[in-house]
Amino acid sequence: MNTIEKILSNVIFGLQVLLLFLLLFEQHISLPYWLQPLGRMHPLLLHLPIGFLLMLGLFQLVKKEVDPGAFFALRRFGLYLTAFTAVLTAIMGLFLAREGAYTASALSLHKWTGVAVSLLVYVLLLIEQHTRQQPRYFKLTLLASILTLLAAGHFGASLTHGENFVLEPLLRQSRPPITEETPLFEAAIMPILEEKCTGCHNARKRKGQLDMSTVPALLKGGENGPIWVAGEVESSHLIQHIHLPLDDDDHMPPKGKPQLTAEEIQLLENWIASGADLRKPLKAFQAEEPLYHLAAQVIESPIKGKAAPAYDFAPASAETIKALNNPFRSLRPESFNSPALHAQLFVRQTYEPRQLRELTAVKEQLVYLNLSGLPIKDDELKTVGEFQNLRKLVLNGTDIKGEGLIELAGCRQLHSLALSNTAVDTSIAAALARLPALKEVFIWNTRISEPQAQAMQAALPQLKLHLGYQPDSSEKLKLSRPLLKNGKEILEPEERIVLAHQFEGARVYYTLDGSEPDSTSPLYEGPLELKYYAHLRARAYQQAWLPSDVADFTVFEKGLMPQEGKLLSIPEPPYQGKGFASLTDGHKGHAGNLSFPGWLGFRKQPFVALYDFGEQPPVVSHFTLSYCENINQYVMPPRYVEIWGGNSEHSMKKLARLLPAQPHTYGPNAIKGIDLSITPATYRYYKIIAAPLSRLPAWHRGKGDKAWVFVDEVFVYGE
Amino acid sequence: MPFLENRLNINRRHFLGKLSIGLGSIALGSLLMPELFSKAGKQADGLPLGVQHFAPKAKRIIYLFQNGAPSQLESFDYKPLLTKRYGEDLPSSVRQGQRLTGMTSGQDKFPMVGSYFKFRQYGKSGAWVSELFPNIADIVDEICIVKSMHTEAINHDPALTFMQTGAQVGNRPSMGAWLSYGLGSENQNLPAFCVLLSRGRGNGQGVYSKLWTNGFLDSVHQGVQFSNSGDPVLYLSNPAGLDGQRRRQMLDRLAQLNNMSYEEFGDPEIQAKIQQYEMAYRMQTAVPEVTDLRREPEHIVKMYGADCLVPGTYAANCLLARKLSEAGVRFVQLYHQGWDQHGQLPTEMPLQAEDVDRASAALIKDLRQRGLLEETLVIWGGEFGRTNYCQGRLKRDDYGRDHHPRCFSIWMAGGGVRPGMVYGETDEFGYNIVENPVHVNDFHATVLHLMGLDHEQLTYKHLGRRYRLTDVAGKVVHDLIA
Repeated sequence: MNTIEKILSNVIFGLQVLLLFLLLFEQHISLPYWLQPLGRMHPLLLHLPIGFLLMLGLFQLVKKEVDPGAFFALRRFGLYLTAFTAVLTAIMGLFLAREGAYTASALSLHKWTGVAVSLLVYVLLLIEQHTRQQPRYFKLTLLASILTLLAAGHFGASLTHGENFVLEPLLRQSRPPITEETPLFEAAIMPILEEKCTGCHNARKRKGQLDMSTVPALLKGGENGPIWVAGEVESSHLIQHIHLPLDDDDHMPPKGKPQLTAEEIQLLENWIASGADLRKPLKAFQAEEPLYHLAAQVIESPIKGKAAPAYDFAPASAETIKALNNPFRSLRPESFNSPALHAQLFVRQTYEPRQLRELTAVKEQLVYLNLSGLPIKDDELKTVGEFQNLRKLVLNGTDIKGEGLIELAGCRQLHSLALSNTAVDTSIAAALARLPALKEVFIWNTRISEPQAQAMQAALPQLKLHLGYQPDSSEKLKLSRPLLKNGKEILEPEERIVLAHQFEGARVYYTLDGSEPDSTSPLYEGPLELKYYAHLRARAYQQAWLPSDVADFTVFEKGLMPQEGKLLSIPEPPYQGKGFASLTDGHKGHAGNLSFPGWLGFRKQPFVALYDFGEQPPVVSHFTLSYCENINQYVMPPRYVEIWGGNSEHSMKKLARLLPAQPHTYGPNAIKGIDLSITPATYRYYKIIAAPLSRLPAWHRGKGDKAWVFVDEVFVYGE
Repeated sequence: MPFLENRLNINRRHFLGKLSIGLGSIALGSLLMPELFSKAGKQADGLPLGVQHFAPKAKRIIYLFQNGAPSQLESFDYKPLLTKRYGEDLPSSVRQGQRLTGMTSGQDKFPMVGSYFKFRQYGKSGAWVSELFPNIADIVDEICIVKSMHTEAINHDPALTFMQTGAQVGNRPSMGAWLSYGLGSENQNLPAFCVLLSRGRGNGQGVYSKLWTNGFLDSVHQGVQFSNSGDPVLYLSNPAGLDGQRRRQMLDRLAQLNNMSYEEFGDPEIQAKIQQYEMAYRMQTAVPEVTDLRREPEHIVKMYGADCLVPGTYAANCLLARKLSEAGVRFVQLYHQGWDQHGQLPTEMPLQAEDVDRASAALIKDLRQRGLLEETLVIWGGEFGRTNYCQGRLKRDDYGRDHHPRCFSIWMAGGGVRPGMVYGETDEFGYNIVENPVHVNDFHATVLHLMGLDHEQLTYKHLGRRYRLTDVAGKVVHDLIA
């Protein structure tokens, strides 16, 4: 290898690596503008590898006619040229592809076949460099390269390009920049047409007799006449063709060419709908107009930001913003890259006036200030008045009385002012009238009454006063239910039941027999005694309110703890709780939530638990079984409950048996207790059995099915 | 093969020579990819964290989650046909082989049943609302009802998890965690993501902390559950015998120790820890201030209903949510349990509606009268809908409805949502969506959009891929935005 060959060989290798690297991280490429022309040279350069490669193929055919030494030398030379131009073309192609504007599917085929050509040709070169003979796979690879090339050429041709393609990025610089004076048509509509339409519809190609490259030609239309009707989107040919199915011959742009994006279509439609004006300058549009909003998204120019609130002030420095942030003061930009700042101060107890004063460092940029709940006084509003660009000010729950509002006159942009929950009165009207941009004022729960607010509203027609909720004294609402003050359902021995209500002066009536309480039931006057178990129902009454709903409380007295115990039947998964421990851990289940770990659920077999009170058993006289009633979920009271006792696990006798009353209809979910008394005894072991109902009653939705029994605690009491 | 043999003869000089050329090329190529090798302080996609991607409509969210899935057919999706064809079997042309839960798959008939409760049109928008929700009907011109929500899951846990985290399986960050991650905390004296639970009187389904998990995000983004009794935030009060001054002294000394070890090891986690102690200390002041009702006027009780004074009720949580949100909490998540009416719907649903109707409407009015509604997004809804046919035995005054993922209704208010609108439509049977479907992913994309975040840009790289709240789907529903 001579030196030139060596250099060329290394250059080609380097370019191949570059190509693969670029491919691998294609998504991250951000192309500087000065490289764009290089990418756009791709369509020019690509003819070289095509020519060279075809030449190599043809050359192979005349091998016998040529002197072998010359043949190999020439072919080697040709291969270097092909490999070099192919890889260069491929890299340029990648650059070009980064500019977008191509349909992904057509582009991807062209890209991969193009890359394949470059790689195949490089393989050819490697074969040439490293083998002395010319093996058969050289010819095969050559053939494959040519075929791939043809495919790549074909896919590439279908990605069409317009006139002046290569030089366009350079020419674009000479176009007048877009300003507020530029017509929206020129700034936003024409570029779309130039990008997507004029490739075929220009002065030279004129497909369908249509030239879209200049305004007069556009207005003339094509073979079917004008291409749009101002104000009538549906009858405009331009829009009709865009919306035809992609496979339709008349769909525009044709299948395989860069298609219009949804935003572009929306923009064209909006432009036609709003009258297809060719001259109306950008500045004549309101920022809120949809057409302007859509256009602003495609225009690349300094005025792009108008769609968002227009801020014409310079941003504060990042250091200033950072320095003003502390735990009790948040200062943040409205959004990424916005100069506008939003501030809120927090925590009444820690407030110091300097927290507000220091914000004057960004007085120009502050557009939102929330001082809710802070002890701000009227004289501090003077500081707020310096925030000349403030849009919204929230003073709810501050200590202002209103006389300081006059200081806000400097806030010429202020459009929303919240004064709810303060002591302001009608005297603020004068200050409000001096705020030119003010649109809404919130005065709920101030000293301004309803009639006063109406008078103020009439005097200030340019803004809306929000008085908010005014209680209606004739409206009667239900009182909240009484509460169990004990805060727990299992009370210590001797502990009394304490009821409470959030309303001072509310009267609470209760029952203990399960009947519904009303104002004739016993009045709760003080803590109630508890023996074993109580189902307490209570209801609250108060003047000007409707009586509350009935509150149901099931409370149990804490029982004797066995030394040990076990379950003799296994609860059904997943309702296995903590096994035996669930029965004595003091954790109650919830009637509406059966998966609560406190519950043990039984269906196929009865609940059977063994309590062991050890060598010196206490006197026992009473058992209370706490169970769940959730009838809709098939959870019923047990069919029967039995207590067995004895001094050995294996010989026990039945001490009590009870058949609990069964419900006759659906009722609320509840935790209930079943009480069983026995003749006082001192057995070591007790067995508690609760059997599920084997058939649900006829009125139940699961009639005939097996019911469940859910138990969360069994309490054992002495005398 | 001779070719390969030859390649094996490559020598070291040759190898190193080629290697340097290759690396040179890569270095050259990387000049075109400025962000490939620099990631400091940025998401993978180049947008900075902790700030809105564009000007937001809403600053904060209050999500009133109706856990268990309230029936759309007794609330906001009025279907007179179901009443007309009471008891008739649902045509299979409507059901289209839709999968059923294990609870009704055994049923041989699917008798259609209309609402037990009357509907009427309200407001300027003329939206139909059932008599169960008179107060929400009152503010119907302030809210945007979406009748065409649909989801992929058919059981509570996956549906709930999907609604809250964008995935049916657990362990992805919840919406609130994503927002805390994407936007940071406004008020550094309170958690950015607070969770309030309440329990209704209907058949309930549990909620669990995976619904407010930070998933793979940093644990500071986790939802903080407020408790209904004792300290609202666990361990908030100083332990008995320790006053505020002693606590301060202790923290100062602790910070000194921590700073010493920071100077020795330089681990930034140590500084983070010091900051966390300081935040906990500030919370001792900030939380009681927020939960204190003394600065509320007396008639606030009438507005939200008497229950708002009873800790742990839905009404109390709505009031607390307003106060937290007002104090700059980015995301307040309520869960009200008890909406799973497989049976006894006509008895249970009025109880549930009574719990939430007045307080939900009061929250909207309360935000409005403080001028905060436009910057606070309120969302009301469950995890899926309920079937148009009866589960179990059908009676005039007793029926149930099974789970139905194909359509359900939610409503939103404030925060840049178009008020007084009913969006989307279901068929006459209330079974399939016929117009403007909104998938859960679309809903998430829209909510993030309202908060000034591009759902495709808010990503977190975990286990080798980037995750989003909307995973690989979701479109912003611009029609919902004012």
